[in-house]
Amino acid sequence: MMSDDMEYESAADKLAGSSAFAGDPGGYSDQEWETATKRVEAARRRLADNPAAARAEAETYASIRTRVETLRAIRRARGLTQSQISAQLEISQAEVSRMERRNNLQLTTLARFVEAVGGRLRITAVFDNQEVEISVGDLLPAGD
Amino acid sequence: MDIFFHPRFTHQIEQMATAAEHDEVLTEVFGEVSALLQALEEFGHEIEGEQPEDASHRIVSSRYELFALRRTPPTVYTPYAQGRPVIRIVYAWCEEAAGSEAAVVMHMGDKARLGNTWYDGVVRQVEETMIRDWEHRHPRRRIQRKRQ
Repeated sequence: MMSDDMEYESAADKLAGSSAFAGDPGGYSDQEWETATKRVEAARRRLADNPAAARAEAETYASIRTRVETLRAIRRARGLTQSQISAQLEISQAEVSRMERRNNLQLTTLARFVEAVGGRLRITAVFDNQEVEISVGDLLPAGD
Repeated sequence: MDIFFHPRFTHQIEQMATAAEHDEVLTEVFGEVSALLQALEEFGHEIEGEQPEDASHRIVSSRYELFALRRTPPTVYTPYAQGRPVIRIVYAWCEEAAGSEAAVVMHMGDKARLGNTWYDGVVRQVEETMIRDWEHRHPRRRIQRKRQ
């Protein structure tokens, strides 16, 4: 019986072998340039009714959306702009924007962000019959 | 956010769709690729980041503002995500009228076996051929260069 990895590898080999991932052959016709975007949409629609494809698409999209929206939601809930937060943190607005785009913030970064919008970061370890609050200060390196 | 597609990518996703109709595993991969395109259209720059879990990251070796959408992003446990299709979809940003931007999706590939050396050939091809052809066809939609 094949493992999942072997099956995936086999599937990838099929694409690679079909020249789909080979170099750019170039020399595209006017029609190919003009219809390129519409044809991508048509290709995506071909599997729109396939349950497995639809599930994978929905789960992946939901995961990305959750990451994008997390920090945006915190800031908006506090009614603050990126400019106001950048002033609080003494960093540029572009850096605040980059912080909001990240989906795997360092604990120190997240703690600073939450404090800048007027809150305090709390972490709770939840067990079956017990909850333990972890002091963020204990987790931060000295100096943070 | 507007997205345009290079004919190269159009051919690739059409071939992937055809293959996916007869392969259960590729069917799921196709769904994930479709979600990445949807997220790019919906969130634009907001999906770009430097962390392993980000859906898109900047290609540092290019002189253009090139990014790659990531299917099966590497993690601390699977830094090179070997063994499964490690799909990367290379795209750029171009200027639009009134100061807005649009994404131009160029090329898709599987870097599972090559690791990050996959980018060397792809970046060269995108810079030397695909961007040149794009700008020839779309002189008002020039691809953004990196700021010095």
